[in-house]
Amino acid sequence: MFLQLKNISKQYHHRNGTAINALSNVSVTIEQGQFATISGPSGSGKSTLLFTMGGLLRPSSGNIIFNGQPLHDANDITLSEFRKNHVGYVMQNYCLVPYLTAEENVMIPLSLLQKDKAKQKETARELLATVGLSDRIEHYPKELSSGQQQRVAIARALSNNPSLILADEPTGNLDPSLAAEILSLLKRLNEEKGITIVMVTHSPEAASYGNIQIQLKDGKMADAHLSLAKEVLV
Amino acid sequence: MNLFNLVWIELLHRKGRLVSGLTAIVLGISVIAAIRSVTVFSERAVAVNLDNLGANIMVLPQGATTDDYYTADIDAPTFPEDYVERIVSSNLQGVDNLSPKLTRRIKVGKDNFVLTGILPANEVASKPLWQTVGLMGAEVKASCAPSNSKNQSLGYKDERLQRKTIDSLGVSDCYIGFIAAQKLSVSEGSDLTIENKKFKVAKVLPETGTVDDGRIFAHLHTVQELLDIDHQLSAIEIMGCCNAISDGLLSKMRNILPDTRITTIGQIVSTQIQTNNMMNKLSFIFLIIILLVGGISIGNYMWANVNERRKEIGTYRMIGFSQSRIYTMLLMKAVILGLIGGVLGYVIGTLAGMILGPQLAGISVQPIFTLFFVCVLLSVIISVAGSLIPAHQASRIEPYSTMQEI
Ligand SMILES: Nc1ncnc2c1ncn2[C@@H]1O[C@H](COP(=O)(O)OP(=O)(O)OP(=O)(O)O)[C@@H](O)[C@H]1O
Ligand SMILES: [Mg+2]
Repeated sequence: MFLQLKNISKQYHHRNGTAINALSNVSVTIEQGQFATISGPSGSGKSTLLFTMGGLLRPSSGNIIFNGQPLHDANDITLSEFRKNHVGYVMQNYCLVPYLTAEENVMIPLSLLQKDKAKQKETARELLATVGLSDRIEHYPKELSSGQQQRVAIARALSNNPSLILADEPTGNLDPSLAAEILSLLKRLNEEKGITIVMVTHSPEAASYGNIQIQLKDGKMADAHLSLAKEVLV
Repeated sequence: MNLFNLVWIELLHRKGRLVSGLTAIVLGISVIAAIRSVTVFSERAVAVNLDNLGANIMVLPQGATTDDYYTADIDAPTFPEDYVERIVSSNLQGVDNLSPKLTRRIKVGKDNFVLTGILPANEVASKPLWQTVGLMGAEVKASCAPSNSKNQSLGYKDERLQRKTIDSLGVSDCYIGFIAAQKLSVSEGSDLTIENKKFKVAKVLPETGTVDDGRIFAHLHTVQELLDIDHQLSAIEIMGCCNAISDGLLSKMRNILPDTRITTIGQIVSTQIQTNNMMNKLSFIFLIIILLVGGISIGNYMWANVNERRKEIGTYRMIGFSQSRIYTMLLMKAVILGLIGGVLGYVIGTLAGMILGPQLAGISVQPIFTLFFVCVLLSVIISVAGSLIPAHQASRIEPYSTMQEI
């Protein structure tokens, strides 16, 4: 089992003393090489679930096991290592560092993994070429279009050679044709490199890319069905 | 790319903010550097003035009092002259201008005078006078008077401040105090017979308002011979560096000359020491205020910076930076700010001291190179101390909390 979540619940405690149940008793199992989508209404806990999978957020209760390693009670160093070594993130707002060029943004995770600056540069350029941005290496995020920024974010997500990519509405800020471009890029990475992808999305179209489709409503699993899973597994 | 590159790029990204963040620390350090360099040089000037107040240590025979020395009775006790040699050959720091004396009351005509045998300066073996001045932070104490050559190079040429040492004195010359000259009605160049020996009056001393006015001065060895008190002294007057005195010079001297009475001329020494202490305290108060102000303003800058960069810090955390790595990043930034602040502060402060010192305090100020390291170290410490809380705050930023901010 690649990534297993068992009975995950998450409460956010608000300053005013109330607690919000963002997730209650969610159990999901995702196998290596799958493309999972999470959809549901706004506020249903999609992002919360994704962050919990990615070691960004500790669940209030329940277990998360990644390749046999428990993450639900791991300390900061273990979680940071997990994120650094295994996970790539693609966020709706790109999360690029504004004062770093495209190349430098891609180099951040690389700098954690290897010291050789020439190699970091080389890898960053290769990755930017993969997402079709060879001619935008020296550009700052604000000098790039939204679609290009998201592609830089994807290049950066790929830079640690992740086995898992977590995407939170990666196409939420993009117009339909750009969205399709990004989605097919993710699909390609999933199919060609075998990277497991979990993607939060609003759009039914995007959701249809998934061979596991998780539906959330009020923090609960509404439906999880394996539409295309068989094809992948066969 | 490494952590340092990231921090550096971030710092340069908003130069305006960087400059305003640095201003406080640069100003603080330059004030410290300016005050320090001006005080070090003015302390030297003050020390010269203080030490010029005159001899402040008296070596007397065991059992004698200062009164004995002044009344100079026929049977007043004495001690051997080679005690001078013992002090000279010891390695005591802070001893200057040894002045061995033999005093006796004598009769010239119908009047009583005190005949004082003195050794002119060129006959007292000189020794390295003053230890080098310390320049480090609070340890700087008002220094001893620099040697005469240093003195001059700094421009202290005030006649009134020159020590009244007598450089040379012939074996049959004598100097006569102002009142004694009147009583004996002699003037420069006239002859004077004392105890059957003929002296030539080399100089009538100007009026000083002290016992010296009524005295006759002649060469020590002549006086010893004349009075048949060979190789004996009534006293050695010493100008001791006031810091050395507060550091226990007297007891060190007592070890060298156990069978003597060594006292300070209280008034002079306490003035000297009080003045030094006051200057040290003032510098110290300044230092504390500046440390506080500098630390708080750097902390303030860092705090604002952390808040402004929440999203990026969250991004770094998302990518796999641990809390301690974020903390390190912020402290690295504090160290860089501290280094820049220290170097700039030293340069600006020293320049300010060099320009303002001569104008405001009338003393020339030179760069003090050890102060450079003090400034840089101080600046880094202030900067890091001020940044500890913001850095901690930054490391606590949860990655998920910033992820959804646009
Ligand atoms: N940091 C937080 N503190 C308190 N409550 C939070 C926090 N983040 C999310 N919540 C609450 O948790 C619930 C789930 O939020 P989440 O962001 O997971 O929803 P979502 O499905 O991603 O919504 P959207 O589609 O709008 O992004 C919401 O009710 C939200 O108000
Ligand atoms: Mg969301």
